[in-house]
Amino acid sequence: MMNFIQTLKENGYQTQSTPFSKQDVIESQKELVKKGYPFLPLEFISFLKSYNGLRGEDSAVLGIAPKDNSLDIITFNEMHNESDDMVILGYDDFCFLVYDEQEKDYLLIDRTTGDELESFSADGLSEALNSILHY
Amino acid sequence: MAQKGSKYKRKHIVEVTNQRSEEIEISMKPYLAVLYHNRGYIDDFYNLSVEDAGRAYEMLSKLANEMGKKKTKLNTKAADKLDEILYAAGFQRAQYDGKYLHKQEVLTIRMDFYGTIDRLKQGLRERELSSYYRELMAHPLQKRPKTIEYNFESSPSWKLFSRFQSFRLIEKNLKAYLIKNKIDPRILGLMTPRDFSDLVVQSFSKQHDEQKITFQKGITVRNEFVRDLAQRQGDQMVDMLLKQGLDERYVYSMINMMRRFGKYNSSKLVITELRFTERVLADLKKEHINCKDFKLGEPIPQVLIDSLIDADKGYLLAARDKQGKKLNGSDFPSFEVHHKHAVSDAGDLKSVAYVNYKHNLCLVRADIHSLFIHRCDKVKQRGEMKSYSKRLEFVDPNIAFVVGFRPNERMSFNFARGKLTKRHKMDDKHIVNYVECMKQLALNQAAYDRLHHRDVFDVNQEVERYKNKSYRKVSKQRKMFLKRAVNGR
Repeated sequence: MMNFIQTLKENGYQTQSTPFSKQDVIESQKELVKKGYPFLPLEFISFLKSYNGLRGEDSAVLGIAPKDNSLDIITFNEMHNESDDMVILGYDDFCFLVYDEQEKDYLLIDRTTGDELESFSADGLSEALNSILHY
Repeated sequence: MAQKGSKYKRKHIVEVTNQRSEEIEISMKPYLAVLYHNRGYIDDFYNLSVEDAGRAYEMLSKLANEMGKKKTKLNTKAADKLDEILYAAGFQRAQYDGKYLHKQEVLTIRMDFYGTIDRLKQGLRERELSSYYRELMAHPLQKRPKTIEYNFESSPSWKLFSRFQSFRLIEKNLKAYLIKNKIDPRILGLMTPRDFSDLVVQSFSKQHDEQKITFQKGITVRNEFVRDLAQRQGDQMVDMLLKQGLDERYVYSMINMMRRFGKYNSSKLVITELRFTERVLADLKKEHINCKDFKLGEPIPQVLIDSLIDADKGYLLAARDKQGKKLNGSDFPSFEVHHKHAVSDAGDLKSVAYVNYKHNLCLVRADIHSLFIHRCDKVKQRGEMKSYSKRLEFVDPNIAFVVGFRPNERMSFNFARGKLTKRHKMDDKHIVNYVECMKQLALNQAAYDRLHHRDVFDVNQEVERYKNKSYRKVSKQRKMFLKRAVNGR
């Protein structure tokens, strides 16, 4: 993950000086579960500490109450997620990046057909984020 | 006038009360105005934020789509209203369901569009790559084969890639890599599309730990589209953005970035001042840049802006707010490139490569793209596939730039102009059918397997048996064939 964050920095993405508080994380997790979605994986939360809501070209990683409202993970999931064991973490023009709590893996899902395009293991978050973030 | 206590008076009171409660609701949820009002709802819609416009669209869409089961007056009204609003915003509901593409085809379109391929994680190579590819790559030949022995045209999987110009252009690089590493030329006929992605990664990888490999030569398809659009229509784009009340320093910096590099992500935008300020002059002096010809308040020459940005010193001209804080690009609208013809419908096109053509792309404000155009994209339960989402398409097929819903907030530009480009002609020569290619691949692999168990079966008979059967059946039969061969029966 550190390597991936380093790559983002080298590509001109500045890390945030004021990330969210612990309370924000707890509230967001509660809100997600209340709406029927799984908890966010811990590794993803640690990524958000550096980049809480990030826009690439035609792509984005969602965040916890980020500055850019359209990247709010709760609102975005309410809008696009009809499953109850997956949570959307980001997107590009072709697919959604989701975390499947049951299978404990990350998936790229075709936005239009719902087809599974690629899968990444539980420890493959940086590969998964790298796959959707175009810079 | 209705008399006090009469049924007309009571009806009137109910109407007024309903109207008042609706107005209270609207004041809290502005998008409800579009639903409740019978007149002026298009203006109501224009006045909504993008997020609320998306909500209005989704609510009307839900109401309209209930029509299938039980047609009520309300549903019909919602459908009509939805169509009117969409039309006013320049959209219409897509009427057709396309031919489904195999996921590998979607991934190839995606690679062509972004110009990158992700490196496969070490632990996944065995799962994702074919055994033929892994074995032949791991066991190079003693002698270097001749160039002529590598016939890419004979490779069923390469045919799927060579439909795109970006891949045709790198064929030489892939060939050179195979020759250099003395790889058995038979590998080409046995490789799966996934294997080819890996070969591209291996050939273009500069560092061992590089995760995303850029293989496209020159500018990517999407950046070329944005650059060409900004170079031809940049002034009009500036006007459209300025009319939205955006800071002119952001507007000119963004269009300049588009014009020069085809980039459109505001998070990476360096917003520069348009005129010399005291701070800019002081910063330039600190860097020992000759400022004697520059005067406070005069326009900064474009050459200076461009040269400092190229030298990674754009910060010297950084635009600042009244408190002296640098303007941050991510606080301003970003853009995304939208496929006007949905990628999943590319099977409808003569060649799937057309889907990434400039005339099929449109530059849209990111919030409109995500919160409105793709509003109905849904993630369903795992395994619930092929659930085509509702999609929108532009009424005007030449729309190229969208910053809002009003007619003067979208711009048309015809990239195609009815002419066939060289690329177009070449793409037409490389049209292939995915299923046929995969069937040929299965046959090649079966023939290769037979060579390794040559005394077990008659190949011609085996190939004959596979002919005129679906890819799935061929794969299944090939597995059984291998099992029998391994068991020596």
